[in-house]
Amino acid sequence: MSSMGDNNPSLTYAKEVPGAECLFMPPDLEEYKDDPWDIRISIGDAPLDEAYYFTVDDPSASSLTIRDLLEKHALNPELAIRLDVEHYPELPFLQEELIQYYTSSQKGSLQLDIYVNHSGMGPVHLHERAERRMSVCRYEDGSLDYRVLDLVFHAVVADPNTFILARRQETYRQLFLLLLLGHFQSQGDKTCATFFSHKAVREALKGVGARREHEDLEKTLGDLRRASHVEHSTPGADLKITPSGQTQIDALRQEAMSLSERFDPFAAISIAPPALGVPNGFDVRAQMMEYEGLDVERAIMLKIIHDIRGELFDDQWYEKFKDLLGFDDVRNALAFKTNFSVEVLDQLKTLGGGAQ
Amino acid sequence: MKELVFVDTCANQARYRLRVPDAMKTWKLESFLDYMGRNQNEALEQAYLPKPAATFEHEIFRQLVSAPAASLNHPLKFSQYGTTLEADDSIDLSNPSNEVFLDRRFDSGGLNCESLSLKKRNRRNFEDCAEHIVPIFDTLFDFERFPIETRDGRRVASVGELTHVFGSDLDEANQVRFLYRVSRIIHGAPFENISKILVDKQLRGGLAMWENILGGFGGVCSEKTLALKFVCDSLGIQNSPVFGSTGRIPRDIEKRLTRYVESEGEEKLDVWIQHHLLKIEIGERSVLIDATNGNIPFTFLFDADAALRVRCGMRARMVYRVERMHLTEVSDLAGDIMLTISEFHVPDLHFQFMFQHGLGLHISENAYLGVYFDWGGERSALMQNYYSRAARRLRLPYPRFVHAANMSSVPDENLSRLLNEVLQALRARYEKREYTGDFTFVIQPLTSDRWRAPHVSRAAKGLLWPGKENS
Repeated sequence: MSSMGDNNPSLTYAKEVPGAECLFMPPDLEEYKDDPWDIRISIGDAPLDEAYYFTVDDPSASSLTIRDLLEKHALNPELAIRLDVEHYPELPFLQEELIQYYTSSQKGSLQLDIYVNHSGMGPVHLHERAERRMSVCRYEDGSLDYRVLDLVFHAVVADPNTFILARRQETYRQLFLLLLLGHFQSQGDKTCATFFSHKAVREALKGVGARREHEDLEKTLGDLRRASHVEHSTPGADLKITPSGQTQIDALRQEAMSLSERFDPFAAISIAPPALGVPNGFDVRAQMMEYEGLDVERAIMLKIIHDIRGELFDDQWYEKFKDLLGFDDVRNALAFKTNFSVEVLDQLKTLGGGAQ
Repeated sequence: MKELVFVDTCANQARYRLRVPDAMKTWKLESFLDYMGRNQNEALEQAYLPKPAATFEHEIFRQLVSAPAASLNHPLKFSQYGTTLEADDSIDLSNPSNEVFLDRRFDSGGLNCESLSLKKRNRRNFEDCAEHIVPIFDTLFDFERFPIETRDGRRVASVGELTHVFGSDLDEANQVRFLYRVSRIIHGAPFENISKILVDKQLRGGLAMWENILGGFGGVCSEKTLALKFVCDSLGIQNSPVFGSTGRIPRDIEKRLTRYVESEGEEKLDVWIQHHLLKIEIGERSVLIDATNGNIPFTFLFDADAALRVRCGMRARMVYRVERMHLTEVSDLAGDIMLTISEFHVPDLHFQFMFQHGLGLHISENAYLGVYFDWGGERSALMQNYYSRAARRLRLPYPRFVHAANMSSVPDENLSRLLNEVLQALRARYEKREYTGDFTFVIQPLTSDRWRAPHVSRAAKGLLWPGKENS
């Protein structure tokens, strides 16, 4: 879920220290207000037991911004002398590496998102005050109990396949729009007036000269028109869904429902012994789809759009269309697809009724 | 030419090959021993017709025969067709391929470590194989792109030349620069066991390691240390061993190792030495070098940094688990014993690295390639479960499991071919009968979430890249 190339709003971290419990903003945080505390920085999904630590002796420094704490304390090379090298002799080298990340991000040559472990939230802003993002780390054996600003550095690497990505996004936007039209129609909106009255659609339908911000929509509508899925009843009038478009929408809905029926049983499984519907089990849906010879990315995208259509197709549908909401989830699903062997899949398939 | 193969019946079960002319029907053992006492040029001058099939392998064999105690061995005994060969006997060469078995266990007296000196062995290997090893070094070190200069500003063109000028005519910066270059090449070589499995070799010595590195392969930490030590010993650079272990290394480690050797393995060695690196002396300076790779950052630490690292240890994560490693400086003898018994005396060490130590076949920044015993059914599921859970815990992409039946599913043709070769080699060479199943490979992609920057002391940076010590 981490290194997908884009700023992923759904990315959060909940890494644990072996033998300890980390609590974000616990109710008894106040009890630690007079103690020295740590700034801990780890990288992405790398374990916390190899993280960088910097101890801040001044308890009140937690009222500083995260930027100040990084620049004046944790990542200040002049304070490297204060690092606990007797326990962790590699800390000065980790500090150097973090300074490189931070400096590159300040220069704009690297996108660095900084998360707070266990906060359940997206990246923090550097101007936020640390005291609102503190955690407590307690060792089960009672040996350590301390307050910590538990930061996770996530460096974002640009995706090299932007052209291919753009082509795939075009395809999925068509899919999105067709299902959107079908949804409005199924809501009793025979002519999809809700859709066509949207400002973005009106702008896009003006064609050449339309505002650039709507060009994605204009292009997708043009694609649907060329595929004869939508047409003008009279020149200049709103578009309407053609019989061929309706057939296509019905087929997509049918396909999405069929995908759910076939593959949802594999959303939480165990393999030793093979079982379906296991709490906290492995999600083998994507691998099962691949095993069945499907275009996994398209199948997941279609399924996501169909499954969360209620959320997607509301008044804010245009923003979701533009951001192609759900596509990050598709890419995450593919990046973290399981790779169990054919024997395991065969057994699961038998349990799941054959995934015909 | 036909083949004469010497099959070592002891621990490492090495095979040493000679090519002999078809016309040669016998070879008197006495004459063979004389041949083995001479380096390859001398043997040619003496008009010996047999030729080694592999130069570096032959040097190891030569030393085994002519100076067995230098690698903690008894004098070798040779046998053919079940009969021990005495000096007056002849080796039969009547077949296209002829096997002679060698045994290094027989002797009246016990073993001792008096003749053990890896430094001397390396130096002798370098001198006897200079014409073969120097071109390998020169290709890898690339003095054009990475220049080394003498004090009077003359560019060094070859390692052959460096042997004469290193300690005397190079200033500290150039000595450090050379050492850094050598260490980087070793670090850049993959952390792998594949090249050993394919040719059934337990552990490569320094000489063989450099040939392997030139071929694009690498080795594990002790092999990489052997490679670095080989260069140091060849150039007369002082070096001493540092052991690493998650447990404490006992103070009397040398005594324990010596007892282990003298008892010929009867006395147990209750210490697990997991890591082996080198501390090198350049003038007044100490440099601690860890060129292991895998996921261990490249380490090149001077003096106080080196001392601190040895005193306080290191954290290391190869794939799934972070381990705290204690480091201990040990005597040359302790280091030599460890490396020598690893090379010659521990049976199936390469399999131990792969299976017991969990190092698998290959670890790089991008992937871990492991292997496990698989006898199908529940075992397959349990192992897949184990690796998948480990991946999920670290939010790594899920591993791919590859075995004989789904080998064709590996999209990369070269990888598929390589895995197939490794599978065949494992099937042929792993002889533990308790494992009746087959082998399954696990390909675990690794993400970029790790500490990457090399650990290089500021003072070293100042010598390597003047003016950049603070960057």
